[in-house]
Amino acid sequence: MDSAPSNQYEYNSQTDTALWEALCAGDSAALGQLYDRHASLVYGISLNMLGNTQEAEDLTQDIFIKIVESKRYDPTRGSLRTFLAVLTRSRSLDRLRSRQSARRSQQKLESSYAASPNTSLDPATQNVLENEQSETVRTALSQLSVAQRQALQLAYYDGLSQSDIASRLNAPLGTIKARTRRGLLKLRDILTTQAKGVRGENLEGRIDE
Amino acid sequence: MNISSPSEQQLLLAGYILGDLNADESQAFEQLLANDPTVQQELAQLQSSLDTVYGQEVAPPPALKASVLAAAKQSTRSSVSQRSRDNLLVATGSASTGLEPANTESTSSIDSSKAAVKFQRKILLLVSGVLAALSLYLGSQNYSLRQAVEALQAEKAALEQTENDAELVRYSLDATENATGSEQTSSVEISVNRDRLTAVLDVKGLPVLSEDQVYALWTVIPEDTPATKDAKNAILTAVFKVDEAGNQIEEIVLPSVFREQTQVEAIAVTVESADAPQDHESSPILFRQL
Repeated sequence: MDSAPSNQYEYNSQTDTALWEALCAGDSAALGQLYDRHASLVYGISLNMLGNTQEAEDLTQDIFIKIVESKRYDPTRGSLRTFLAVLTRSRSLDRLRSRQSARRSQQKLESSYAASPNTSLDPATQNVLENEQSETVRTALSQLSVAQRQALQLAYYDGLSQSDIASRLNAPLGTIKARTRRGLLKLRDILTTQAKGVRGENLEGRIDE
Repeated sequence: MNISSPSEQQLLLAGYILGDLNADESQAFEQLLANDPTVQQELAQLQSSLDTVYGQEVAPPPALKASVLAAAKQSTRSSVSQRSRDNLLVATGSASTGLEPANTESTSSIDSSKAAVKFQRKILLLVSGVLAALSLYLGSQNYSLRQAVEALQAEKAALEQTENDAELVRYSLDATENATGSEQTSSVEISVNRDRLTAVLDVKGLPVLSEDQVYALWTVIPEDTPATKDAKNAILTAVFKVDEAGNQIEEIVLPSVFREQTQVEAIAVTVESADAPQDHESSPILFRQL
């Protein structure tokens, strides 16, 4: 993630919406195409949060099966990729909580025994985001206002609804929506400018040589 | 909703990427999308910005795709099969007796539709019996009726298969820090049938114990579950020994808390005194959270 936006997600001849509608109409080949477009994001988030390839594979499969079964995604309200990312984070958190609960349960059971294991629990997602972000991204984020950064993270990374964010930040819903959207637009502008700058520097370097 | 200014359009696109459009905005977005071909490119840029900051792409193993597609196909097939069974029931007269087709929301999950499957199975058995008697009465000339009987019998077989597949849930126990070397490499699996409250315990490679010791299998339940349990919130579920090779397969009866997944926290295996395994004095050597 050093050069922005390096993982440019392309809307090809068929949009996600068209593929989604084909899938809902029974075209199973559409799922293969949607998988090709989004599996690395779903798997990447799962792996990053769960830290285990087997569990990440399991969750990736689960996510794609769930969207086919439930048909809960509404293409008129938002992008499929964001929907998948938020769903994956939410399911990863469920699994992390379940894992922590399992450990607590085992510790509780073993606490009455003579030999108690010395296992410490890490908070589910703390510091994951910070560790993953590159310098470029941190610089871009630092140019957003604190409020925009907070709203964006709560909406996209933590998967909270706009009304939940409004309630948590004690601000009107309209303000939160505008703040999040403006934050994203500003982020795009900053990253695009940075990318142009990098390309310009590279070009100058080649000319100097 | 009328979106006129470019900045309003931009906010709308950002709202779509963030997935927070309301109904009016959604309508305006669709109009925008239809009228302006450059919108797709803008959407791609915005999505890419989010990916850059918050996304973490890692290529999954190549074999996963085939696995996902096969599982999706299976899931769709069972859903379609369920719907066709609903239709068949309606077509053979259940609608006139007041039966409603199963809720399509619940058909997507084998577990959640088990009760419906059982009920339908009973109805199918009844209907197939009536049709079989009728077919005998009408003789071999009623070709279409015979076909209906055959279709129902095939459905019945499929339902039985689905029910069998859905009922058994297998759990492998993991060695804890208390396990010795040979206990660490052992394999203990329990295949649970929640409806029948039975399970098959399959043990491989556990050390042979002395005469005065036994293995005890415990069901660990949440503290607030209304059930008889010991001080460690555990119910003694089975006591077993292994043969000379360290193996054992036996069917065990489960406590009724197994009917509700939320009422069972874990299963564990300990080594206890053969005289009083219920005293539950040892640490678990194998453990599995449910």
